Amino acid sequence: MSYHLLTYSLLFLPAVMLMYQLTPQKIRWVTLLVTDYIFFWLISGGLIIWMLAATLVTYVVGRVIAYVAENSTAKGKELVRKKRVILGCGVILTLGMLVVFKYLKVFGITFIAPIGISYYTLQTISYMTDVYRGTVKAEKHIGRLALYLSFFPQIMEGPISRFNETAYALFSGKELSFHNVAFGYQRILWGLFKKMLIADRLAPAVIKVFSGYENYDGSAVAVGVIFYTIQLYMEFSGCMDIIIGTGEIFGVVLPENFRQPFFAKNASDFWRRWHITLGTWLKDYVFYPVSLAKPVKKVAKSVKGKFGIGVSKFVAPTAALFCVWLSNGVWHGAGWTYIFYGMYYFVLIFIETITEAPVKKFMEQKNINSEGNVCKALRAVKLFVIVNIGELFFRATSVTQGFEMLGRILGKFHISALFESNLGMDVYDVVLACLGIIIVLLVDILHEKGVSIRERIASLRLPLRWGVWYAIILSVIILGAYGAGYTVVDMIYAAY
Amino acid sequence: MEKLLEILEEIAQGADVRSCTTLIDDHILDSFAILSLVSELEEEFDVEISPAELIPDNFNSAEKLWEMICRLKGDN
Repeated sequence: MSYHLLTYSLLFLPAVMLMYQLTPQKIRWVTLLVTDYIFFWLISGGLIIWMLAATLVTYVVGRVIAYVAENSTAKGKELVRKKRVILGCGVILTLGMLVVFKYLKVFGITFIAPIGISYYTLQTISYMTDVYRGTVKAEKHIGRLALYLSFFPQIMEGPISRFNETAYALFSGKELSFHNVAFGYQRILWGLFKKMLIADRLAPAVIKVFSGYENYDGSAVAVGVIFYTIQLYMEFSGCMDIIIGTGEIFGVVLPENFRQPFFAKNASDFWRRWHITLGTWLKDYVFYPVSLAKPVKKVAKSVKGKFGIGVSKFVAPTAALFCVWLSNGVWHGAGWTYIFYGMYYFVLIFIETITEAPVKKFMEQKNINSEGNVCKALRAVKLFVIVNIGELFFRATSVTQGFEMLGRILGKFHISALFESNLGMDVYDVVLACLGIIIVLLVDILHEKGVSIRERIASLRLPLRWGVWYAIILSVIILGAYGAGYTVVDMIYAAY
Repeated sequence: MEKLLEILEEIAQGADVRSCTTLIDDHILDSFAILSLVSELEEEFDVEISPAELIPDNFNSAEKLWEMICRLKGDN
């Protein structure tokens, strides 16, 4: 079972909707919970036991922290210390499971990890920490907590939601409405369009280039890398559309994971628009705690004494930024390419931060309008290059391969050789992929301008409205990447 | 309060910090700016701001920030 398969949207989902609607409102959350566990069983089999273990640990830790906070005779710092010890135990246990499944392979010990472990582990940590911080009340019913941690659309690829964001909507058992079902399915359809029409069509070329880059000219390698970046965006954001659309059907507003990332101003802004929920999670549970940690503050204070506030103000953010990007890299997997990817963005964002003020001053002195079209275009090209280099290393099997591919692009680039390269795509594929990309680009431009396209389409006259949706349905059915030469491409981010 | 507004004006340059109620929601204060602000506030008002306090509700306006400072001073 996978979100992009038609069995999901045409069989599984309607069956769940029927069961949900037939259940009395008070216990609809139980229907969702049973569905979650059936879904998890279908994708991970007996590994469901680990999901149950993580849920149990999270529940117990949340309840114990709440109990201590209410009943302990300790006050002030002593109470904080007690709660911190309990939280520490919970984090070690849930994070420990993630480490065992994902990182012991570095030492040659391999286990098959439950799908979604990287996502639900982050949710367990955020829940326990929020109970510790007092921003979330500990859930008394373990079943309800289990529902929050395992909501079936989210379990494979996120988005990583906070308890306050989704739990209460999940528990409410809101009746299915025509509006929610229609809008939810429209969003799912849009996700299928991106995944089936664009991402899966580009997949064969990406595989060919990355597995045999030595046989290609630099121009073909560059195209392969660009195709991978586009594939990843269409795939991941397309799956998010399917996931968020599914949530919408049940009246659950899941947090957005993408916000037109290629319209970002720089690398920092890009990460505020790409895999947003991972970024905000790292900000709240790594960046701030590290920056405000006493040893970091101490170092910052001593630097201030020696070098002044101009230098010291960067100490805490830089230490925290390093931890964030190391965590980001490591979270993706136990490989040097992921650590390189994390460090690549750490260096870029660090440079952006320390040069921001001097660059701004320089632009003002030279009377350059940073919001002019030329500057905007140059910024967009620069960002596109930065993102593509990052994705090159992210997708490469080793850092060495990444550098060799980059060397080929820079040193053996002959545009004429591109047309002689066999990338496993014919003219038909290229035209369709380009057409799809242009449509997504136009939609992204409208979203960037704040236009709600679904609302606009909903306001059209009936024939026109259905014309638009039929066009997308037919394009997915007729033009999607099926048939000879294509295999169903697994969701990339489900592997993390 | 005046001192807080001075600090805010220095960090969120160009923003109308006296009336703005969306300093976080509108990304006027990013995470680096929040850290600078926290460091200044801790020094100026002799309070300790923990990660738990770093929520939009506490940082969206000067008024909310002032409420947080008063509460933390009371806790001390």
